[in-house]
Amino acid sequence: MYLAQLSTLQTQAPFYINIIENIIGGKVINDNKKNIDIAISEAIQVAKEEKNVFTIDNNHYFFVTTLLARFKVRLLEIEDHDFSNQTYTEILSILR
Amino acid sequence: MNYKTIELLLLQLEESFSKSRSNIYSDKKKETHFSELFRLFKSIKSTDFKSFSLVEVNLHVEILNYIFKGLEFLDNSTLNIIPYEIVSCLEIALHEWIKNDNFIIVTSLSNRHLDFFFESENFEYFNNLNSHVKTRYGLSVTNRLIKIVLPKVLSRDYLSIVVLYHELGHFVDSELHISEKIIINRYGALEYYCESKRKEYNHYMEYFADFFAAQYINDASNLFLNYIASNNPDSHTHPSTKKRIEIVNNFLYGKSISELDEINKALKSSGNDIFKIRHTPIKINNSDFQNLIPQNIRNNSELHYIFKLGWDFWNTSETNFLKKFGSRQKYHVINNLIEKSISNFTIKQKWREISSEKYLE
Repeated sequence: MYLAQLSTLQTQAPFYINIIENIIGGKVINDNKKNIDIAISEAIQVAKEEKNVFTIDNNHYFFVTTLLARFKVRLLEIEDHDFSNQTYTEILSILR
Repeated sequence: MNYKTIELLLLQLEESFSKSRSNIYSDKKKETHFSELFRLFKSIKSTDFKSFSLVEVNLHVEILNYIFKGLEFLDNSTLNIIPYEIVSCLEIALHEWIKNDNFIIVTSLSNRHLDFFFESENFEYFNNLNSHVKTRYGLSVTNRLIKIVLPKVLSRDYLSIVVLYHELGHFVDSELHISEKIIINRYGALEYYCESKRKEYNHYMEYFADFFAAQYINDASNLFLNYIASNNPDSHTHPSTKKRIEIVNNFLYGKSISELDEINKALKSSGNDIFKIRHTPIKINNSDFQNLIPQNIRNNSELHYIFKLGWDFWNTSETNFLKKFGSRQKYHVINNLIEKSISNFTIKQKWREISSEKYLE
């Protein structure tokens, strides 16, 4: 069966991998951690239908939709928005 | 991939920069962009890239390719090449949808007939790249490039150029993610979509671009479409030409169309303006073209309509004032009148801006 992606995170993945590797390694650079956490929180809210897809911020649209497509089951389980290193590691694995 | 990829890209860029250094650009923003790319290139070149990790190699390949693409398009936007008139019109339409003024429209003239398209890295990519470049090198890239590709032979053919309004529509759609959000809202965010859903997405993108163009240039884009694809049936990538023409006509007549309602709902929910008529018709009988002089355009909505006016004159050229001219002359008269009308309007606008700035000083 013909399957296709709507859009792809491929070219942006290296930037997100770099940021998340730094977060896991304890290197907090500028607002990078804050921005990633905002994006993960937004993905959780959309996954839990607390927000609709139209409100996703274009600044991290590909990241959020990638999480929704490949990480939705885990997003639904996350309660605490103070994310653990395990969450970042799991996200890292879907970006690679 | 390893550091050798970076080494090769740096050498290729060195060549590219040495050829581009003498370019004279049509505005200051392009000069600044060139300098910023050059500074970034020099900084990367002076790093110890042989010790980069795989992630760093991947990141730098992205950055160097970004510099490469930027240079390629800047090279094609020197003072004597850029089709200034159409770019001015597209810039006005663009700013109604993307509020940032950090865009530089650059053009590339293709040797292929009917090769019209827009290209740009998206907002998220640009911000990610800039954030990394700032952290790593203390540098930044101020402006985003929007690249318009159009055929060299048609770069001043204002009847064909209407298709760029449609292409601008695709760019705005990809920037705002409207067609994509419609599909995700309907079927959920999936990693892969089956053929029928992908087709639905493709068709939404075409409708979006068709409505977008019709807001500004009435049915001029349809008229051109009829020339190049008059009987095209429904396909995986495009709805049938018949359906596209029909829904644009319905939009222009103010009739309800489910595709338009869906797109407008998505635009509104995403915090954007909706599609509506953004042009003011100029009647062919009242047009200044009748006297073989450029149209006195009074505002932006008349500016966009000038392309439709050109088509009206072309389609009735056997009966209007052009009937005394030969076929080739008709074509040149219409194109020249459109071009002069646009340049008169944009020059007057610039004068007004400069005068009001001086007044404020």
